[in-house]
Amino acid sequence: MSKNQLLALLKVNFLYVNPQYTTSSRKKKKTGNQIVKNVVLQYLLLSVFFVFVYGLSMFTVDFSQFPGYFTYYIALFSLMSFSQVFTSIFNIFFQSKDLASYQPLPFNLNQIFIAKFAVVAYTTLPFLLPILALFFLVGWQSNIFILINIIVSLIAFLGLFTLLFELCVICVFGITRSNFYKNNQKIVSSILMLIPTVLVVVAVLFLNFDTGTTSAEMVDRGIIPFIYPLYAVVTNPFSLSSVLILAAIVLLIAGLFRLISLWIVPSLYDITTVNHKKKRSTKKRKSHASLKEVLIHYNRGLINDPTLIMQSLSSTIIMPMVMIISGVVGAQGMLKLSNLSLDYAGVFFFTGIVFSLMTVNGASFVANLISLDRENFNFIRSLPISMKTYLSNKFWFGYLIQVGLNILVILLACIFLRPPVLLIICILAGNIIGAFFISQHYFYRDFRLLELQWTNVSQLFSRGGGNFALMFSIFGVLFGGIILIVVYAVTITMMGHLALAINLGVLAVLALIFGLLYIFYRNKFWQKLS
Amino acid sequence: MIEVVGLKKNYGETQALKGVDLTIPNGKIFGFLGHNGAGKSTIIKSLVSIIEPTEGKIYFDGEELINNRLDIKKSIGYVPDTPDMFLQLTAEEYWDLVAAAYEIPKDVRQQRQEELLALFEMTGKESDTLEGFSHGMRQKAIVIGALLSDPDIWILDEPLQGLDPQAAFDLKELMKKHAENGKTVIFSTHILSTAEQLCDELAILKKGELIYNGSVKDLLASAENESLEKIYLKMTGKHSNGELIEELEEMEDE
Repeated sequence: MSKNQLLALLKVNFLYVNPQYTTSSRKKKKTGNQIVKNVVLQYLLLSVFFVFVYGLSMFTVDFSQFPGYFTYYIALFSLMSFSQVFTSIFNIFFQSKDLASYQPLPFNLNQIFIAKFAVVAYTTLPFLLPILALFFLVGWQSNIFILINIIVSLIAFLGLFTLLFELCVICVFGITRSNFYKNNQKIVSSILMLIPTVLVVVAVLFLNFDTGTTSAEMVDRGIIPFIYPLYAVVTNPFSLSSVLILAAIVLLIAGLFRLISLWIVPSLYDITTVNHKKKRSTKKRKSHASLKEVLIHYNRGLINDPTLIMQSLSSTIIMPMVMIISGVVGAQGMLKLSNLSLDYAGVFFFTGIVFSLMTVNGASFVANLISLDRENFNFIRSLPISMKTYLSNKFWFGYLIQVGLNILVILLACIFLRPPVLLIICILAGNIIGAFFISQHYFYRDFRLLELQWTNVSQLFSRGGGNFALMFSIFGVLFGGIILIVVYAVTITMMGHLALAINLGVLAVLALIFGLLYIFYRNKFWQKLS
Repeated sequence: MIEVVGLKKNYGETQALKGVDLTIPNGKIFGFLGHNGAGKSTIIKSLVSIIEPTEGKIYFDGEELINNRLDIKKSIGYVPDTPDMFLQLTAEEYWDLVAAAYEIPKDVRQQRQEELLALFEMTGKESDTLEGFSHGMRQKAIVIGALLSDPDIWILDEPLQGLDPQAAFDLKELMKKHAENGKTVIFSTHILSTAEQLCDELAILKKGELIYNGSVKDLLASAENESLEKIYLKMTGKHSNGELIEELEEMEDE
């Protein structure tokens, strides 16, 4: 195997691993080698950062006394790592769709796969290294000699890492080689990409429950039996049982490796470049669909892409959802919203607006629907149809999806917090109205910063101010919004006799702002189209 | 010499190739003609190992492709039908990848790259990404990559598509020169005048079957005073029995 060939393949894969960073670095005239170095360094720094942050939080627990917590943390990090490896394998092997491009070149197929697996492993390192830190910490707390501790921690870490990696490989490639996947690629891909996010949500919830128990007098958690052997290895490495456990891990790794080499490797190329049979639609199509129906069908097709769906949802709805769920779980029993009076109608209405500000941003469907057209947009411009009709159809399509998702999340939170029905109506109304105007803003922004030549959908999300602006808009709105809601709610609580006046005042200000926004977007955008 | 024996390729229930046998001699320009979906690209992709045939064998100078893929690939320079690959790489990075794959020595690569850059007027464009190029420029970058290692066999799937007249002319001249040096050029095209002008030998495909394999001269001689276009349409057109041509001739006479 040629070293130069492997290095060339690694370089290409690293350039593809973070397309946004590669694109922005190219704009700054950085060469390919500089970009690769920076990407490698970024993951290294991220690893150090994660080890530091998680290490710090774990430092407070004496794991030598609490094996239950040890197994719990290992399970948690393993779950998060599994989800990360799962996503990386899926992205690098399936979503990149570049394997066929290598085929005519005289590369050994093994080299191509080794380079890809190496990049997957490297990019998941930040999520795995806290496990190494935990192994070391428990060894140190158990007074194991430092050199022995380092060696044993490394062995245990490599064992666990390899096991997780092998399990992920078997899961991903096992699913994708099935006929069900081949026939339902888009749906299964969306589900596969959703799994890691769900796992992370579950992990966050676990942590949330956990904080309640550690603050009080500490009681150990229940031991997770299949992880406990690792505890024995790192705390008592020279016992017979530890040696036997290590031998069992090695055997398990070897067995899984054999399974992969017999079951997956021979058909790896076919699995990853499978020619999907086009299913013939059995649906009867209307022979003369109206323009509106055709456009709805077309727009649905534009967003029917697993990568787009997951990237968009994870940057818009999922984070607020996670925060709300963890907040709701944390606040259960403390917040008695069912007792709230109609004095808080304004607060709920305003909360609905803030929630729409949190969920509609540069990564929302409505904020990218025009650019998703790619070259179709220019073709459509040449057709004898009104641009205003075409774009307003798009806008309503994107807006209704967004507002539908928002309503779902709000109703979910309301099920837990049980506020009065009228207040639920207020929060929904605030959300529907707020999302309308914010969607207008981002839809117009998409038109202004139109990008039809994109190759990776994340390029669209970071238009304008880039990723920083996107993150700032999410967190800025989040914290600013929460502060305003709290101030508003406290004011109402303290000045209950003036609630009606305050609510009317706030409503008047909001109505004025919305009126001005309506006029602005009508004059600046919609009227110009007609 | 390249020999294709009983080549079949099925995509699900669709038979893209139905048992093709053909021989491509060295030192010739060999063209594939056929309508869309006739199987041209499927044969070409089988030759460069992008797809696995369902049945059949391919030999390069007597050696079966599946027995020595890597070495055989090293003797091939390939241009795909659409130049949409590695779009996030700059042209230079793409050529770096190709150079690593073919293990081209640095100095040789440098000299060859400079020649090709000058020929295709791409000097100064090395640091631009492929996605930023127009279709024609991308095609040029891919052609440069394919010729960088100076391979013996060129396999070009509709290589002139998108090229400007000057670049198309230069590439055609290069193809002629390559064949004159005893090496092989295989290409597919829809432009019959180009095929007539360039090819020594032709393979005409219709719905996955080979309906002609031989020299252009013999084909033209088989029907006196008829252009390749008319002959081709007679063989492959909607009315392959010649009705369409007769109709056209009648219209012309009127």
